[in-house]
Amino acid sequence: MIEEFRKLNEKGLTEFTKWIVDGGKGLLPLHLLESRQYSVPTDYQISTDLPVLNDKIQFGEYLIELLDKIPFTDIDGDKNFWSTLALVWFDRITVRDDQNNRTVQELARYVLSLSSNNYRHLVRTPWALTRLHGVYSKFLLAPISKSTVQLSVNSDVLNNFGSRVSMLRNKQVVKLFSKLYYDQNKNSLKDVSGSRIAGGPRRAGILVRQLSLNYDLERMSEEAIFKILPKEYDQWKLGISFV
Amino acid sequence: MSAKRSKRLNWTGRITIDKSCVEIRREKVADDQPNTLTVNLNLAEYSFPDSAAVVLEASDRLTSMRFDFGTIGSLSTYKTIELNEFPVDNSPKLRLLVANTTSINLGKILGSAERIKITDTKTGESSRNIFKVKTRSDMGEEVWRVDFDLDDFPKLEINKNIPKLLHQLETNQLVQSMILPVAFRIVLTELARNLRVTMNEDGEDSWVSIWLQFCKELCGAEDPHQFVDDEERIKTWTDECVAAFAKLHSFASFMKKSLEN
Repeated sequence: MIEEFRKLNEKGLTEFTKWIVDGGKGLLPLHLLESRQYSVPTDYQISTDLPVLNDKIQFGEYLIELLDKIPFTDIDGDKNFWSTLALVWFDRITVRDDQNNRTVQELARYVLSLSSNNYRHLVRTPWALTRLHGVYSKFLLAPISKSTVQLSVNSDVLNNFGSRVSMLRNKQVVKLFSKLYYDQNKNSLKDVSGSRIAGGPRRAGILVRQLSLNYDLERMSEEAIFKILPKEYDQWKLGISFV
Repeated sequence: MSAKRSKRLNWTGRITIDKSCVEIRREKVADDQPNTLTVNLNLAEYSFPDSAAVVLEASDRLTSMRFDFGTIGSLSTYKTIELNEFPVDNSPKLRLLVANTTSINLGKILGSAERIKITDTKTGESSRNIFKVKTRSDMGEEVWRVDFDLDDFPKLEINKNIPKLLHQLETNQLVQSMILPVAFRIVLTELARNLRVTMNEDGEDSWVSIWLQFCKELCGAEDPHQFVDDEERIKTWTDECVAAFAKLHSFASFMKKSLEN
């Protein structure tokens, strides 16, 4: 249903935060979005009916379409907006335990942080990465397991890249590592598990940081960056081509 | 907290461009309009090759914009730029890069000016704070924490939902004595952890370099790059810096006095 979208104000955000910190029990506090005390109207027409989505790649694509009429600078850093969407879709982005209680995780996944950990937000990040990198964001959003609630988890790859935000926003770097870590034929992430894997995502963060001290990576094509990768990336380079 | 800078070894070989060569002013625009900046460049004192490209980069979290200033041989020395991809109330980080454009070492950074400050046209002021305090409303029951972004100075974040905490932190030495030395230690611990990754290559404008300089001025502390793999010495170095910081502000004395009253 397309409706006028109301977003939490500061007071509403505080209430939502309290509800999460208290364990996210009982009914979702959707009443906050009906009260003038806790929320404000916006000009946005947004359908909050979320279709069946298999993973965060589809979630990102869906959000791009859903929000395409809104200038991105209006919502990009709007923590009230993204936190409101997390509230509305809370039961889609959380898992439940054996007793059917919600397993609430760290706050930054639901209430958009304005700090360096803001990549952990479960709604904004799929949108932001798909907007920035298109199909090349797949390796960051791809499922890491057969979890039934794919929208509730951030992959290790995202965590490794996200903690170095300059790497996450660099289009050439993301494009290159997408080619290295994502199997386009199988449409899935290659086996990148293992913290000490040579040339794995954990090492990539440190490597790109070091390279960016010496090179203006934004100026370079992904092929040019590819050529200066050290030997430990050789196993990932197999079969990679640049058109 | 502020710190003077001094020259340090730079293993990357790139030239540090003096910030006085890059003047950036914020022009007054309507409140709902994107920030507009005027940029004046004067790179005449440097001997970069004519073919080297000059670019100004503005960035904040996932957003970045790049503004091309041509090449050294054909430089646009004056330009007005609009930060229209950033929210109006946002102040992105600015850096100037001079990079190689020839096929050998394509993209290699030849020189840079990092964290360029914007001068406000109205006040003519610019400032730098190496340990900013930010209030946040999403901290739940946490009172304070230190946030790190490798590209920026560490920030002390405090809970906005605790009325007067910011004011108390700024004015009440009892509150300061309970928060600041611990926060200071957390920063130094993270700094020490980063030494292994970056060694001396971050340049003198990195937060690591500026904090090291601050520690040196605080208590004459050695540069811990020299003993980066010696955990015991790193711990001693951290303890000495925290002790000097606490002594500078007489934290224990203030607490003693406060508890006696």
